[in-house]
Amino acid sequence: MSRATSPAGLSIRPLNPFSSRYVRPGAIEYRFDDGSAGGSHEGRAGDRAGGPDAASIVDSFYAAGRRGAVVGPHGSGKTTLLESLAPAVAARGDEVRLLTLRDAGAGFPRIALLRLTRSTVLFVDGYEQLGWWRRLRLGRAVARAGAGLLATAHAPLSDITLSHKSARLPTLYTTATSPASAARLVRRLLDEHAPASAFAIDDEEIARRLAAHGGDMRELFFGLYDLYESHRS
Amino acid sequence: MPRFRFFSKKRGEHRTTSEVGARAALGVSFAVLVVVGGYILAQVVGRVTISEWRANHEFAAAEAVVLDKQVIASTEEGYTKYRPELKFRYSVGEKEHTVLGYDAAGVYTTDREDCEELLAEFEVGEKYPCWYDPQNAGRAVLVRGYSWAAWVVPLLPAAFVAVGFGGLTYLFLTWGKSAEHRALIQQATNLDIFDPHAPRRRDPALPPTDDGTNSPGTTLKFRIPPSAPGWDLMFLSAVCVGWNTLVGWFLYRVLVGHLGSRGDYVLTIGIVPFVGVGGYLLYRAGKQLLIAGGVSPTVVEISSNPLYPGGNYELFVRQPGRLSFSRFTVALACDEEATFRQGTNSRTHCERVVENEIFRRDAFVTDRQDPLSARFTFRVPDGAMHSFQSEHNAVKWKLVVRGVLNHWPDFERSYSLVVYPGRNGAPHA
Amino acid sequence: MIAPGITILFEGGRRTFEPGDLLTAEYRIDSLVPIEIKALEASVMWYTAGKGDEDLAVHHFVRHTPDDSLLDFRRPQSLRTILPIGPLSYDGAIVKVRWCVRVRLFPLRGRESVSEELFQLGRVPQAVVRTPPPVVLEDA
Repeated sequence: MSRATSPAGLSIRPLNPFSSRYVRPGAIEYRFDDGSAGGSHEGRAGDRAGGPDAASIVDSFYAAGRRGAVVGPHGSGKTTLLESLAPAVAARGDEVRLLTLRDAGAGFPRIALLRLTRSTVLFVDGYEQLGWWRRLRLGRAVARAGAGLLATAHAPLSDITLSHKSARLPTLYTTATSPASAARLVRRLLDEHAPASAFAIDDEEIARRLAAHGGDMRELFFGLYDLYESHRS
Repeated sequence: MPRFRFFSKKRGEHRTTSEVGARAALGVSFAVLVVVGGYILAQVVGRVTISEWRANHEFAAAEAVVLDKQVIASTEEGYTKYRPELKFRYSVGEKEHTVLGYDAAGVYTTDREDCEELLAEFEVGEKYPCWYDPQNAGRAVLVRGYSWAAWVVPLLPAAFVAVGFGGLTYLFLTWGKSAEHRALIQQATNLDIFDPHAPRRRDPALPPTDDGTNSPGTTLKFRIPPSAPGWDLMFLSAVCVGWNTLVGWFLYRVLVGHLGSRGDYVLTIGIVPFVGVGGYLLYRAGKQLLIAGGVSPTVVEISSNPLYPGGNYELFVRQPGRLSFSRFTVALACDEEATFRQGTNSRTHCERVVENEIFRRDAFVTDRQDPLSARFTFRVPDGAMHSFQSEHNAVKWKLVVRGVLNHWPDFERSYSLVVYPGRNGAPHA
Repeated sequence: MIAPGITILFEGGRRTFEPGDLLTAEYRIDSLVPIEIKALEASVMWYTAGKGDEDLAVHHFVRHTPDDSLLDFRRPQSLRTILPIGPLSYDGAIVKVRWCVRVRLFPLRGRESVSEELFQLGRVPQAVVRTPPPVVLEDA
C-alpha cells in the first residue's frame, strides 16, 4: 500500500494524470474490451460471458505447453498485458523472467537464459526484434531447459514458413485499441489521479486523437499529457 | 512498484518478478567471473610474474657453459608460437646441473626472428653468467630482467576478478533492499575519492562545469564550445555517400541497359524512389556542409561559469567570414528532456520552456577585416530552474545562435551553459 | 488484516524550505493491533515525474530494525537533516522534481507499506508551457 499527500496551501500541484508513473506498463492494469481487468488470476475461462480474460489467456498458455504470443500493433497494450499476466503465471508456481528488446536486430542478454529451469517462464517483449537465428537459439535454449516462453509481437508467430517449430508460437490473444477502451482508460486515469481537476475531454475528442495516432495508446497518452499541462498552465 | 534494472543494456532489458531468482542468477555470473578470473590470474602471476621477480631478486649467481641452443616452436589452434631455449651446464657446490631454459618467464612470441636474434647473443661452448634458484638448484636462467608479459598479461584476468568481485559486493550490499536503500548505495559508489567535495558529488543531479572551465577565452574568461555538431554531419555525410553510391551503381546498370536496347523497365521504375531519397540526402548533407564550410564557427565567450539565477553576465560573440546577414540573434534557452521506455521503444522528448532573445542585429555584412563582434550583458531569469541531469530527465540551459543569411542556408548553433542553484547571481548561502 | 498506517508530520507544519535549512520531521506507525516489524526505513529524497521514466536519489536515509533495542516503534521517530543546495523542487512542463519524506514499513508478515509527504525545496516558479508542441528528438 502506498500513498502520497500534499496538503492544501503547499504549492505542489498534483502530477499530470498522464505522467509516465501512471501510464507505464505495470502501473496501469490491462483492461479487456468488456472492461474486465487483466491482472486477475482468479476465475477460469468461461466464467465471464464474452471474450477472453487474463485467466483464460493463462489457461491457453499452459494448454499450449507453456508457449504462446500476444500479438498487436504499436501502443495497443501488449507490454501492459504481459505485465498483467505475470502475477497469474507466478501464482502457478513458475518464476517469470521479463526480457524487453528494443532495437531491430537486437540480441538478448545472455543472463536472461542463465539457469533456465522447468519452472521458469521467459516473457519476451518485442520478439520480432530478434532475427531468425536468434529466435531459433532462444527457442532451443528454452526447449532444452523445459522452460516456458510467452512473447509479444506485431504479427502472428505461428507462421509455418518460420524456420523451426521452436521459433513458432501460437497466438493466445490479439490486442487492439478501440475508442471505447481508450475512453475508459482516460476516464480512469482522470478519476484516480486528477479527481478535482477541471480538465475535461469528451469521448469524441479521445476517439479523434486515437485515430490520428493510428490507434497507438502510447501516443494518445503523450498527447493528452501535453494537453493537460497546457490546460492547467 | 519500483523496478530493478540489473542488466542495463540498450538492446535488451531483463528483469524478473522473482527478485531472488534474478539476483541469484546475477550472483552466479559474478561468482563465475571471480573464480575463472582468479584461476587465470593465479596461473599467470604464479608462472610468470612471480618467477621473474624471484629471478631478479632471489636467484644466486653462477657460471654456465652453453651446450646447445634452439628455437622451440609450438603449434596450437592453427598458429605457431616460438620461444628461445638454451641448454647449459653449471655447478652448485659439488653438484653439476644441466638444464634447458632461457629466462624466468618462458613467454612465447609469434616472431621467430626475434627468438633467433636473442639466441645469437650466445655461442655454444662459451661461458656466461647464470642465476639459479637457491630453493631448487636445478632451475636456472641465463637472462634476467622484466618482460612486458609478466606485468601486462595479468591485467586482463585481474579485470575479470575486479568486475566479478565488485558485482558480488554490490549484490551483497543491495540484496533485499528497498529502492531508496539501493539508490543510496549506488550514490555512495559514485563518490569521487579524489575530490569528495566537488559540487557534482554532493549533488549528483547537477552537471559538471568542466567543459566550460577548461576552455579559457581570449576576451572573456571562458570560451564555450558548440554542442557537438560534428558527429551529426559526419554521420549524415556517410549515409549520403553510401546510399548514393549504391543507388548510383543501379542507375548506371539501368542506363547501360537502356542504351543497349535491353532496358529493364521494372528496375527503372523501382529505382525512382531510391533516387528521390538519395537526392534528399544530398540536399540535407549539402546544406549542412555549406553551413559548416561556408560559415565559420561562431566564437562565444562568457564571463563566468557556472551561472546563477538572477545573475548578470557578460557575453562576447564573434562571427568571422564574408557573409551577408538578414538577421543574427543570440537567445538564452532552457530545454527539458524526458526519456521514456515504453514497450519496445525508447524515446526522448524535448520541451523548450525558456527562450529569451538577448542579442539581435539586422541587415549587415561581415568580411575578414570586419567580422561581427559584439560584447553585451544578459541576465539569467530570477528563480529560474537550475541545470539538472539524471538518468532519464534533464533541464539544460544553452545559448542559441541563429543566423539568417542572404543567398546562403540559415544556421543555428547551440552552446551549453550550466546554471547552478542560487539567487541574485550567487549560490545559496 | 488491516495494513498499518504511517503518519509523517513536519515540525511546525512547515513544508517549504530553502537549501541549507534544517528539516525536522516525525513519523509513526498507526496500528490497532500489535505488529511485528522486520524493518522501518525513512528517507528524505527526490524523484522525477512527468513524461520521462522516473529517477530518484536519496539525501538522508535511516533504517530501523528490531535489533535497535532503544527503539520503541509505538512512539514517533524523528529525523533531522540539513537539506542540500539541489536539485530544487521543480514543476516543469515534461520534467518535474519532487522532494518528499518517504517511510517504508516492512512487517514480519504481510506486504510492506509506504507513505510519503511532499515538501518544497527552493522557490522555482512553475514552468510555462510554450508552443509549439514538444518535438521528438530521437528513437533510440
